[in-house]
Amino acid sequence: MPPPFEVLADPTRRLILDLLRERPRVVGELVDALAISQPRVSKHLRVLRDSGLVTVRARARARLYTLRPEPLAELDAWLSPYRRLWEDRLDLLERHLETVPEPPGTAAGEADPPPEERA
Amino acid sequence: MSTTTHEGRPALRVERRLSRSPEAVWRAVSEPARLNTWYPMRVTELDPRVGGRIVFDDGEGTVLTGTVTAWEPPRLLAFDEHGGGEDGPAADDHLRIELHDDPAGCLLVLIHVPHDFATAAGAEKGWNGCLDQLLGDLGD
Repeated sequence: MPPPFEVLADPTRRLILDLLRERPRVVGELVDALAISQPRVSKHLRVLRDSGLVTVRARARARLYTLRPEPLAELDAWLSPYRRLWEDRLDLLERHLETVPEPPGTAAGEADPPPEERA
Repeated sequence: MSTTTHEGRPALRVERRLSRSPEAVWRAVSEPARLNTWYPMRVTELDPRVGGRIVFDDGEGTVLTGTVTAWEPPRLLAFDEHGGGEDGPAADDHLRIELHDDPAGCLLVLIHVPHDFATAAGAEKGWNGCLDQLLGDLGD
């Protein structure tokens, strides 16, 4: 089973997931929305199914594809070091902002004056 | 979960409420001397216009260039950080900093679209090294 990030490296597959995030769709709708051939759409859907990112069930005579978000948790885990980094960096930004005076005439400046008064 | 997508790519979204006006925060996110108090990489050059060049220098031999993709003071700054090599845009990181009005002062929304996943392990190592450096510099 290919890892989700390899599967998601392909822009067409990301588009398919975006479309399925709105609602489940049959393959014909995806072909229309993506403007690529049905065999190519089906090939991408097979990769998405193999990676567990979509499920398929028969509806009347059509097969309905549905997004299955669980493998995206791996993606979230991959992004978590970045999240920690930015939380730390925004702490620094906040500390920096405390050291600089608010430009005059702004609402936030009136509500929260700078610590040092100019003599 | 703040994992999101930006133009179809997986992205990280971090929000922070700040007790300063967007105008004040804009200066801290757009002037190199101030950016360098908090941004993960030292900015040595920033041409303040769409298409302008940004240069990052970690002072240890790593120099990256970037291109400003949005410059709308005091609301929006976005840029691509070029990974270089033959991968082209797939090797770029995209950063977007939005400043919204908020009763507290300003809501900062940071969106980071990391470069392609294949090189993610290396990037993570880089960021962690960067944080270690920071903690060392602070000395507390």
